[in-house]
Amino acid sequence: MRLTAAFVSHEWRTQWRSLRFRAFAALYLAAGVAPAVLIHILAPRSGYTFGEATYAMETTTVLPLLTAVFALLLSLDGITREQSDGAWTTVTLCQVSSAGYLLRRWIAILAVILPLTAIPLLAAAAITAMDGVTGLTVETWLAPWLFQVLPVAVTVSAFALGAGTIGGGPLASLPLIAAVLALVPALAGEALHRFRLVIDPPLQGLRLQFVTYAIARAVKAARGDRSWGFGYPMPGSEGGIDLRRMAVQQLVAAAPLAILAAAALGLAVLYLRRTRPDVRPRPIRSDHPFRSFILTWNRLRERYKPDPAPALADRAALVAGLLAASLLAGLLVSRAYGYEALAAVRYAVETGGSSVPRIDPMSAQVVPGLWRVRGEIGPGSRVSFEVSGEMINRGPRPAGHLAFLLDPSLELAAAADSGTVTATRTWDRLALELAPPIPAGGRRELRFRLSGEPARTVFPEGRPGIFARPTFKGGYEQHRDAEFSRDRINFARSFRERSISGRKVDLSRGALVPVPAYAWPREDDETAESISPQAKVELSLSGPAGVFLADSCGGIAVPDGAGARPAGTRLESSCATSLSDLSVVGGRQRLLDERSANEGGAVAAFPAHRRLAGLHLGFLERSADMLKAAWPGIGMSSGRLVVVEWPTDGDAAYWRYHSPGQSFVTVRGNLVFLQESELIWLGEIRPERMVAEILAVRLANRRRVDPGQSLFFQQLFRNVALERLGLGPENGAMVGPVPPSQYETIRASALRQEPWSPYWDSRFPSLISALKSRMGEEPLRAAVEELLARGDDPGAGAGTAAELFALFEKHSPEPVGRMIQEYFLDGKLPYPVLADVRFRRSGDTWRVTGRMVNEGQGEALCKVVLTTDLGPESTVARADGGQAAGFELATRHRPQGVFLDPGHECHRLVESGGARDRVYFEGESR
Amino acid sequence: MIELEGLTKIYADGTAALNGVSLTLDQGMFGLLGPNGAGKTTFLSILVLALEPSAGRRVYDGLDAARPGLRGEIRKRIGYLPQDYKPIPYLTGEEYLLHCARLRGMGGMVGGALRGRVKELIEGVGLAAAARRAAGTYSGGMQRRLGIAQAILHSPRLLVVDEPTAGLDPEERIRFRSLVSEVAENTAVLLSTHIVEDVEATCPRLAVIGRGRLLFDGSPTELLRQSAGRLWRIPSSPGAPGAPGGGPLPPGALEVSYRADRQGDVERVVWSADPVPPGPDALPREVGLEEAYAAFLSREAARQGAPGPVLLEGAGA
Repeated sequence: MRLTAAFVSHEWRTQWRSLRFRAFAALYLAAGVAPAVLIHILAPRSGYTFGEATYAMETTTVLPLLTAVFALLLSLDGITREQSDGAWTTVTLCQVSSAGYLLRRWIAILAVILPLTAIPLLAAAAITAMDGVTGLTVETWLAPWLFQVLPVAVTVSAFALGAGTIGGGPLASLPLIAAVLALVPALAGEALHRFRLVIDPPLQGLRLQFVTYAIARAVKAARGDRSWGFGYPMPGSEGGIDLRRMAVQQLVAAAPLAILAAAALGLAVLYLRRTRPDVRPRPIRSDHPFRSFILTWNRLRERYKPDPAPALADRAALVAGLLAASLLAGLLVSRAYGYEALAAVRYAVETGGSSVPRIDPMSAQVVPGLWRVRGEIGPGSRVSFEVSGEMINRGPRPAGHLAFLLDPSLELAAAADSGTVTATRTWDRLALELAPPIPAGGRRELRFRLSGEPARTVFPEGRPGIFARPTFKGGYEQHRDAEFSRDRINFARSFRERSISGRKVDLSRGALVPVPAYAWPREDDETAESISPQAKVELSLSGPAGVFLADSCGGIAVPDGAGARPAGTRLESSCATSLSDLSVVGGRQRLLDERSANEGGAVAAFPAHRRLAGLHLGFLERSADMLKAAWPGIGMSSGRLVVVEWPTDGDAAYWRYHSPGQSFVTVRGNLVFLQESELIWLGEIRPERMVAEILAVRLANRRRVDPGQSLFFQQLFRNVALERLGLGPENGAMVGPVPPSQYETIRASALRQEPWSPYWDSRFPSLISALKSRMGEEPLRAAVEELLARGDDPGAGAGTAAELFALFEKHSPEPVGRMIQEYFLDGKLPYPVLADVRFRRSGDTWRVTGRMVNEGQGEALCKVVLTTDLGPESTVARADGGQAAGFELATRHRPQGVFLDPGHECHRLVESGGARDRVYFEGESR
Repeated sequence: MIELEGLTKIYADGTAALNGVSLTLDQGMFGLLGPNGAGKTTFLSILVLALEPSAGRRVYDGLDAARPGLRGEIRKRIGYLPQDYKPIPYLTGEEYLLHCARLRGMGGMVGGALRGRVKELIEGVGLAAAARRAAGTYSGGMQRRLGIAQAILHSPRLLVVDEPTAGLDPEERIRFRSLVSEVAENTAVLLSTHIVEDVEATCPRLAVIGRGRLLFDGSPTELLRQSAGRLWRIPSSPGAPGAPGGGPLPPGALEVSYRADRQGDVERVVWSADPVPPGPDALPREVGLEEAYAAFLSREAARQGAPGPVLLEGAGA
């Protein structure tokens, strides 16, 4: 210990007196603090409000790379400086073993590096506080240092020290290091490929791509370039950190370099060159043609033959280094195979493979009744729930097969109030075979005991296709059938995202209760699962102290932070909701105003965003009124609405772009999730849009619909809601202008289930606007309301588009049958334009004639308006696809122009380019 | 006692640097002489365990270096001042010695005792006034003295000093010689040098290495005796037959060296196998260790067929 302390104090003293070290350190610190300084300068121009996480995140983006370079230089310098000193022989004669020397040298170098690595973060924290951010937390700064900077410093210094010792000098060591970093993964990659394994580049943990991206962003922001893409800084989440996940991910990323470092440091004990070995002589003739080459070869043999007669401690260190490298490699391999096996199960389950028991979804006739959930959330990430759930068979035949979705990490014990229950589980699917089956019209109470650590297993993505986003299935098949190493997935990078962590509590979709499954969710079609009958739910859960919790019934558990031992929280609520929406969520959030929570609406935001949330979400009380106004009877009667600021996961989530068909909030029951990135954006959050999204979800929850038409209904409810709140498309019923390249995609049936099609952004909102114009606002609402109200009848089947269209016809004062057939079902889109418009004067009357030519398909039924000095005159023209309809208008006032559908009520296409739906008066026609 | 038996070293390219050298070292000063390339540094490196011999045996106070487990113990017994020694320049003399002391372990000596030992040594080598100065600013002689201090910090059984006085001014050389002599009172000191005067002044025993072989092992008197009455000086002129010194020598005579003065006159020093003058002009020459050593080398060179005389130091222009 004393000797180690001597090494440390020697290293400190020597380094601090070295100009070279001081220069390195100054550069390191300047570059490390630069991100925080840049944020200080650029943040006011960025359009976002930033908290401490942003400062910490941007600083730790560059810090691993800087630390790696610093550690590399310092370690190489440390080992080669002393060896090239004339005093080296003094060192070689010390009693300390080579292993002891190297180990202490490593510790001494770390003792110099590590305090320095903390300085940029401390400085960044000081700048953060200076910029007015309050309530800084230790975790936000310590965790990235601990898991992103420390492993880099430890592994790079060990590797450099080992390689520098083996290399025997900076000139030889640097090429050696480069060769090892390049060759070992390449050779290992090819060898591992045969075993379905792949190794990440050893420098993965340095996140080089993020550093170059950060530099590009900083340059862009400094230039004032506000074009598409991120500026500087990129917002970090204030939601807290899932420490275990971060540790696993970062340590797995650091492992390849750690393997090399352990092996290099272990081998280095044989290369300290305290005693130059004796090598077998290979004499060279003076006239040998390869004399120079053989001389060099001889020198290399002498230089790189291991030291002779290693001491016991050295041999032990060698074994320990190689053992550590092997253990780490073994750990990675075991992780890779373990997660690959899980992926294989998931793949087999999702593709109906024969290697797992097949579980069919259950009949839609079996619906949940009263479900009670009691238990505890915590301690730690564990849960313990007692669930009793009633299943009612509304079908004509007995039902003995039930299917559920359930978190695979949870242990399950299932029983029923009568008969026997046989449970089968594969991945996230659970089958219960009941004996005897539930008789037609009968019911059965099931009891579940759930315990464990609910978590989602996240597998690394495969390589994306040119146009396709990577899917689990595609990635797994690519890995399974890989011809080349590059197509393999490194399953060791998989991780478990626990439902309860320091970042958030997200108990939903099988992590809280088994969710009845009437169809299995599909990765490539998130909208396919839409049968979610409502159940009566009663929740009684206790939660950990200091954590905010809210449930989808609108229940809230406010953490009691007072006192030395804050008490745990408690959720008590009940409501009617679909079990697939039943959720308990929370985390660091705190209520903005507990009074408003008692009045039917609550907003919970992260403490760092409290003021911002107050500014943006103060409209919540008004939202309740808006809901009532938009759809009478669907306001707050179904429970308290809880808006929860939700931590944005991953950097990609900060792309704030939403196409018109996408929502910027997610709604589950009475929970409204507002992404953190939306809140910190300094732009206005429009309450109407948020209310429209809530309304759409509530409408969708009232009746199950045909799964094959779920996307249509989802979009219908959203667009009807937006129309009700005056947020219909800017051009009303008019479609466009759209580029010709999109014509085919927008001339499609509304019942086509293609969620990513531009149809939902470019055409469908206009179609609903046209329908509203044709039917009137209230008849449209009445038709939808009647469709949904039929869902209250237990015997009602799934709502269908045909049923809805019939209701449109029933409620509409104008005929809409043809419109539905042509526009909704056939996808026809008229393209009426004005032609041959003539202005003629006859006495004191102006006669205006012309034709409306429909260059598109389907019926064009549009108003033609003649504007004059003293008010407009109008008529309606009707023309089938490819046909023309003449019109004539007369006025005693001087005409100004003829306009086709100036109110944008007629569903029609408008091409990009010249306007052909208006003709201005330029004097009498000849 | 340090016993070295049959030490042989052949480098990877086939160069034989040492060939069966055997020596025994005990208390006191031991001089090691040899021309450049004779294998002295190879020998010393092997002696201090910095180089593995191709063959041979090294035993230090009964500890055989062939056994890896004993090398730590052997290292404890060795102090070494290499030829190219430089202290760590950023540290002061005191800090440097303290660092070395800690590395050496010093039999568990810590804190005040360790500092006391360092202070004692610094004073002993005459660096007390410069103890707080960075060692990088020391003169060559001061650095050597600091080197001696680091080498004897742990009271080694054997101190090996390689060319310690090369490049030092005369005053510093004398001071250094006395310092080493003092150390030798309790320690075996191997002084490797090509400056015969240093050996003459300090060593009761010396060895000569040439072309990797041990050529002589004995006292300086013994070496002197080999040349007593056999060294002659013959005034000559340059360019005369029998270059470099002048005319031909009788059989059995060897030119040991020559001295040239500013006028171009040359005085040849000649060794004769028999105690008779090698020519009519030959005058008896007083034998010093330097000449005796040079004569010895010349005889060895002649025996092995290598070229002859050397220009003696300090001579000529």
